[in-house]
Amino acid sequence: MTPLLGIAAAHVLGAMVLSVANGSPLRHSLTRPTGAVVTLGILHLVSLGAVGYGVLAVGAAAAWALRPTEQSEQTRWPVLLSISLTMLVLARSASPTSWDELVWLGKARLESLGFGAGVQAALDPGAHVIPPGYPTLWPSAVGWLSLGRDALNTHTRAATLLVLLTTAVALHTWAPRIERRNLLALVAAFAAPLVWVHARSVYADLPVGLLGLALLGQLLSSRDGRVGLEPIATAVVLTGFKDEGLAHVLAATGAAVLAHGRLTTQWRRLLPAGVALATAVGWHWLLNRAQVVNTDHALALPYWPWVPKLAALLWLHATDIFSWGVFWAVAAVAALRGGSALPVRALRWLVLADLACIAIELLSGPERVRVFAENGTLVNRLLMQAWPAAAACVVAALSNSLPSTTAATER
Amino acid sequence: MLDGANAVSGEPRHFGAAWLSSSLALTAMVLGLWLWRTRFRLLLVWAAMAAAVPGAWYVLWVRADAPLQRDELSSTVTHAVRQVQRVAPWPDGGVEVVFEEDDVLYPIGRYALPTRPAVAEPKVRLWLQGSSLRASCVADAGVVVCGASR
Repeated sequence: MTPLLGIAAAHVLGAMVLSVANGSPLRHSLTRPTGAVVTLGILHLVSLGAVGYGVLAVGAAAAWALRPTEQSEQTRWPVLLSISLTMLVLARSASPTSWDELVWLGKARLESLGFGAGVQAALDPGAHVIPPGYPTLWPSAVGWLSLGRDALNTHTRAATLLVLLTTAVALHTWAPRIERRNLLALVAAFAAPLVWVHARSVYADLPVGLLGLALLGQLLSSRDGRVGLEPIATAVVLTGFKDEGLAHVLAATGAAVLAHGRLTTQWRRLLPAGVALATAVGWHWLLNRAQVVNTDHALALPYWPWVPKLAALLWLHATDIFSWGVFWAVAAVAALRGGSALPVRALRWLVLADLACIAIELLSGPERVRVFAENGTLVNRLLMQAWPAAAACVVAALSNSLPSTTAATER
Repeated sequence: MLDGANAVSGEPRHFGAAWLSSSLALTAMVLGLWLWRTRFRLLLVWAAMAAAVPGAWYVLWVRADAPLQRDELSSTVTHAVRQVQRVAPWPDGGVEVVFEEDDVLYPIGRYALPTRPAVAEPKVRLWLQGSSLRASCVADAGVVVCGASR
């Protein structure tokens, strides 16, 4: 029950902030799942101390610049379905069973020592937190939703709720954009067995991809770019979850700008990425001051001789029948034949940007990263981060071309 | 525990079915591009569903975290975590990790001891070893050894 109380409190608090920032009624904000994301973004910045407060001020200024001039249409969120799904998921055994789950949930225990203890430990070289220098929000958010309780099953359930939250935010953002919903299109998008493995785990890769997809949808939500506070909060949370989160912010921002056409009229859509960059710069400034070195993700010039190996690894992983079925082949067809409607166009750009980010991360990262990729412990998780965008592209493209099974109830 | 999230078959660095997988993916892509603008485009969806069956079999039946096996795996992991936490309390236990193998007990050790500050006079010197989750912890010559149960 504790994590449910935690996420409920985060949702209500975030909805209040959204309401003030966007000038919308509280009952409107309470129906949007992004409330909890707003709270997590604010808490993350507060946990960074003076640097975070500075970024918070920048974010508040950006939110003012992006304040909507008209009320967005209220979308009905399937509350009963969400509650039922949450109960079903939480009813399963609450124990991690994979490597990274235990390492990340271990860091969630730090928040039981006090708010911000995770950041303090990450900035203390003597604490030997691993991996050194990684952003702290994913485990810290698990600790916050656990309301300080230090128990394995509590942390697992809190992390599961975070996965559900990111799913809800992505669905809430994109479901209204799919005009002709088709169940078979959804089936094709989910015909990727490795996604089912990650959906029932508490790895951060799927949530990062889902938030990247949600950010694109949020950036497209207004014709004049006055998109409100939500994309700023999403961008900050993405940056705080993983180092790759900033890459997803930039990918979603680039996709939104390219889908709309002219950069000069799209400057507002760049503001959430600006706040995310400020968050990342602030975090790296804190790391430098504490002399903590993030050796895993230090970028350098691309190691070009590895390009053939990269192409081979991506092909082998993406076509592995057990992990992905033929999902990536279907996604490629959907991207090429999906048409030119705005949702498909934007998603096509996002998939391309995500794949480009994967290539840059692997080519420009340290040798250790390429060793991980060759050992099979990295590429599939990076593809998992790109899956939500590709799946949405499949759904949007197939929904346009297959007969509708349900009609969209709202835009 | 080691590779469960890196591949469905648990073997992310071995692509034994690479030729079959590549052939199926290429066939799906070519057929999909050809059928997209015809009335047979639904075949692409059916092909996607059929191609997911081998992975679905692993996820739902074969893997240690498959629905019918997950409870047993979870209780084994939880037991191992509790064993280590019992002998190596955190944060005030004064624990020094003297050895940990890069294997299944490594992440469990990291959950039990997320921070490892230097300890001048350790109360517990911890040794983590072995490839089995069915671990017990015993004191041995001033060191607490957590590893495979005998």
